[in-house]
Amino acid sequence: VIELERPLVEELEALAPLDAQGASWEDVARRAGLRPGVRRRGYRPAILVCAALAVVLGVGTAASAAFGWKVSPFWSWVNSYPPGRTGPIVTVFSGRDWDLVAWKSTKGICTSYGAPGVSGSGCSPLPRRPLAMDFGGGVSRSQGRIIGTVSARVVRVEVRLPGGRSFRARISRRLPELGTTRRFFLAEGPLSFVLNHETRFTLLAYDANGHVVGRFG
Amino acid sequence: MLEGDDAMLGEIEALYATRLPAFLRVARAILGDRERALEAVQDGFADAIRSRGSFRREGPLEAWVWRTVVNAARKAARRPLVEETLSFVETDERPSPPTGVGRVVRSLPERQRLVLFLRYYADLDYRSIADALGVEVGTVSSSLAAARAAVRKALVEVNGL
Repeated sequence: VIELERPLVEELEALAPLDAQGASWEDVARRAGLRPGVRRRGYRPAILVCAALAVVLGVGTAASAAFGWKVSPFWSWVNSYPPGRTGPIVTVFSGRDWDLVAWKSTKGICTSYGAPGVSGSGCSPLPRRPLAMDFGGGVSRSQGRIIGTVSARVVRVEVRLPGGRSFRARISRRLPELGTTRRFFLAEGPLSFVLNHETRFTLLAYDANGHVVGRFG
Repeated sequence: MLEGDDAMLGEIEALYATRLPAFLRVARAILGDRERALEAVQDGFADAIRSRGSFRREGPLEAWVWRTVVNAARKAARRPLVEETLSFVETDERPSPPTGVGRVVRSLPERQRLVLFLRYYADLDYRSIADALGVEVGTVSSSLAAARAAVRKALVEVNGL
């Protein structure tokens, strides 16, 4: 049996290398003819989408603890809150003043993040690729937090910063309660990418043999 | 209470924030050129914003936005160029490896190549790919099968099997 997916994804990435410089939501809004000032989210929608949800749920809007998360069906989820939970709520990661929990639902895997002043949730099917960045945001002017998922064969996730610096992300325990072999990863560090779009980072996922099997950025 | 129109706009914006790399890569697969791909993605999202009132939620929003972006890229591909630049640009950090697989993927018909990108890179299911490309699910299935067969054959040759 020849594994098709990994070499194929690598080829696709090599054929169309990523370079997002110059991409901005403001430019999209301008092209669409939106009135200036109607929406001024810039390239930090995840943070502000989270804040908007916090308003809806009545838990405050403290910008100092702003955070973001991936929620493709975000607004539909809000409108149908709460989603149909079909499994236990599992704590994936937690810190002194924040938690990330997840549960299985009829709308895929739901995740919910809570920190002082900010709370948000979203549900979607988990991706199949080796590494997927789900959401990220600034927790202070210079520190950021990235959360995503990796496939079962990924044993290490590395964050590479401009200038050659790098650090390792934490990978969660296996989460059979969610009915998936995927695990979550958490990277916390000098990731001001959301607050400052100029800052770049790359995520690399490695298998047990030290091969890069997934890449983001 | 959130207004529906504003909520839809927020949903499109969230999609842009979280899925931009995938959109850029697929557009680049169609256009080959980085600048034109970026233009197509920006135009595609702008089209999605302008026509968001026509989205009936009969399928996933993401598939509908993919369609607008793919259409924008295809439209751009039809525009005449002063200088032909439709080959894949090789000036980035990671040059395309001259493997048999890469050559095969490059030489695939556009639809097969797009289906590969949308399936393996954008993680769309068959129905969403069909919606994005404006074709039947059966066409997606047959295109993907043909593309997989070509890639698998190339992998066999590369591995010397």
